[in-house]
Formats: sequence, structure tokens, C-alpha cells
Amino acid sequence: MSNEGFSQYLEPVVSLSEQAAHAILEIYNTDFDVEHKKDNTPLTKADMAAHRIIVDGLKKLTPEVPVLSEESAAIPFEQRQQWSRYWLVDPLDGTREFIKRNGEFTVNIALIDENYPVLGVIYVPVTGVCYYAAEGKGAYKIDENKQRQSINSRSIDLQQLVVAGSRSHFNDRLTPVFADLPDYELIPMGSSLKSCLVAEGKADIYPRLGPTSEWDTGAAQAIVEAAGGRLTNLNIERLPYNTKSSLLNPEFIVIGDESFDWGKYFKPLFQQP
Amino acid sequence: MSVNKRQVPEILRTNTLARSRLFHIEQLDLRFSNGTEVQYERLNSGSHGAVLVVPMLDDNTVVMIREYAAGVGRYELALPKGRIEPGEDKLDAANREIKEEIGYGAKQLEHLQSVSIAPGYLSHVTQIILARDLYEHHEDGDEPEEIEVVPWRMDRLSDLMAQEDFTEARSIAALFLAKEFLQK
Repeated sequence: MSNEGFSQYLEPVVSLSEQAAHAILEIYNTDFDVEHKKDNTPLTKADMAAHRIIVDGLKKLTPEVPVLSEESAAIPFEQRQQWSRYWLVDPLDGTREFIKRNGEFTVNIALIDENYPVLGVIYVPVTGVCYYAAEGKGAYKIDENKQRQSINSRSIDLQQLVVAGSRSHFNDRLTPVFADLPDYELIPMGSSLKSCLVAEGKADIYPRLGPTSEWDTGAAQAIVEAAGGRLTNLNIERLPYNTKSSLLNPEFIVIGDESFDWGKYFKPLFQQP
Repeated sequence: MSVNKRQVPEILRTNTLARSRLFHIEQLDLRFSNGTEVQYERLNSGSHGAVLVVPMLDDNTVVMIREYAAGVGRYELALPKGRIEPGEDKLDAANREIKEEIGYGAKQLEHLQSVSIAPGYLSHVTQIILARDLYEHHEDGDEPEEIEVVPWRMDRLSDLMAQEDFTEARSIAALFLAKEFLQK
């Protein structure tokens, strides 16, 4: 892979995510009755079909760049810490949404360079919507009508605060934080689409307490950052990748307007690793 | 569930054969109810047992760890586990272990099963605990190095079984017990 810019990979990676999305839809659109968590469910099949397409495609595109995903999670840290650049993939984010059949699941592909995401693609199979970004090239959305538009996170207006998330995430730690803020509108959304809402300026913040894996955030972080927002831990520090032996993320927030002092609200919840 | 009411052999004499920091090997002179006398040996753990935790990242993802297993001499993938301290509740022990080993505590802890490994000669019992609703909380344990933490999907246990560094019987049992429990 040359250093001339990562944006050269956008088109092939968007195309790969679209192919993976089609494979997922073929299974999603059958009349399935999910027996949750069993092996070889439609969910597992859809995930594996998407995974295969993406991994094969990325291997062709950049044979020298390794791929990390749920299926290769067992690669020892000793080995993966040698990687300066790698693809970080979640072929089907939002398994609950897939099972609930609400369409809010996504295909996620990120390129990590020197521990930070430099390219990200999030594709929504059911709608055909695609968010993508590359470092220094801005963030874009292809809508349902295949129209491409540039997206930006928005400046905060406390009188019209919008939060992306789900009610179930509002626990005994998060609820007091928002009790200190003005009234807000909550937009429930599944998977990495919550981060996309912040990236496209439809929400101001997506708070995520509790554990997630690195492949859950890589693509979203590239898109949010290119759109002018940030994805940080509760101490308002940018999330790094592949820097520790654990593949779990710290608790994080996605914010659209970094000039607002979110740290005042979230730093007290920060847990020093 | 019925408990076997059969009379257990009488212990005529116990004798310590060897004692180390961790192990206590005992010799037992036994008399069975039919009069037969034999000599058995056992490894007495002398501890309050252990917990093995199934921490759920979400409803379809379990959190595993990879750490050095001196018995087999290699790094092994397994569930977080540890000894129950004297006077410590098993659920508290489970929560402490995951804080030390994966950096997350759990708001919801449930006891799934008590399991033994080789009851013929090991007195050791392990409590399998399901941990859900995780929150970030790091605690320093007695681990000699940073532990590798590996998320794994519950609908992919067959792939996990194919991993050559995943062999621990208690972890295998715990994952299938948890999977069955979660499907109910």
C-alpha cells in the first residue's frame, strides 16, 4: 500500500461493503425464524457470507495488509501488535436489530494506520445508505436515492439537544449526567448508525457506557472525525486501536461539537485503566 | 434431583503425603460398606473453591481471556477465573475477578452451576457465574502481565472449539451452560 493517500481505497471498499450487504439481504429477506444464539442461524450465515466477501476482497485489494475481525479475534496480541496498518471489520453490526427485523444493522470496514482510523465505510443493507470517509477528504453519505452529499457534525444548541442512543443504555450512571443538561430529544437507533447520526448533524451526542469491541467503533470513528466530530473515552481522549492486549474499548462518547465542554459531564465517570 | 443415599466409605485414617504452597496430597485409608479396605490418594485444595465467570459483553458476545497456563506450558484461551477468598461471597468473587482480568464489573451476576473437574481425587469445586450488564471498572489483581481480552460470539462456539489453544473443560462446560441458560 502506498502512502499517497487512503482515499484511493474508498471506492473499492464501498463496493465491497455493498456486495457484502447484498449477501446479507439475500438471507435477511428469506422468511426466517431466528432461534437466537444457536449456531448456523440465518444471522450467523449472513454474517459469515458478508465476512467472506469482505476478507477476500480486501486480500485482493491489499494483499499485504492483515484483516482483524470477530472471526480472527483469536490472533494473539504479540502478533497483531506488529501491524502498523490493518483492516478492522465488523461484517454485521447490530445482531439484535437483524433479529428484530428493524433494518438498523450495518456493514463496517475501517482502515487503521498507526493506531488510528484513517478510512471508514458503514453500509446499511436494508436502505442502501452508505456513510464513508477518509482522512483529509471529508465525510460523505450516499442516500436511499444514490445521491451523494457531504456530511458534517453540527454545532451544539442546548435548547435543541438531541441524543442518539437507546433507553436501555440510560442506567444509573448516565441518567444523572443528562439530568444536569437541558431537556433533550432521544433518537433510538441500532448499531453504528448512532454514531452516523452525530456525523451527519442529526444528533449532538451518542454516549456509550458499557463494553464494546474495537471493531464496533473503527469505521464510525473515521467517519465522525472526518465530519468534524470526535469519538473519545469519558476523559475526552481519542480512542486508539491495537495498542493493548484487550480488544475491548473503554466506555466512550461520540460528540459533534468539541468546543462544548462535555468533559465537565463525563470526566467524573471516567475509570482510569 | 435425587441424592444418592448410599453409605459412603468410612475414613479410617488420613495421612499427609506432601504439602506445598498450593497442594496438599493426602492418603486415605477407607473401608467400604461391604468391608473392603483400600488406600486412596487425593489432592486437597484446602481453599474455598473457585469461580469461573461468563461475562457477556452483549446478549450474543462473551468475553474470554488468554493467559499463560503453566500446566500445559502455553497460552490458553479461557474464561476469567480465580479463587474465592476466605469469607468472600461467590458472586463478589466473580465480580472482583472480572474487574481484575477484563477491566469490567457486572451489575447482574447469577450462579449457574457448581462443577468439579476430577472428583475421584480432586476436592476442588468451581462455581460458574454468569455476569451481565457490564460497566468499566479496573482493579489490580495478582496477574504478572497484562491479560489478553478476546470477545467471542455465542453463535460461534463451534469455531471456538476448533481453536487449538481453547481446551479448558470448565470453560467449555460454562459456555454451553450459559448458552442454554440464555436461550430460555
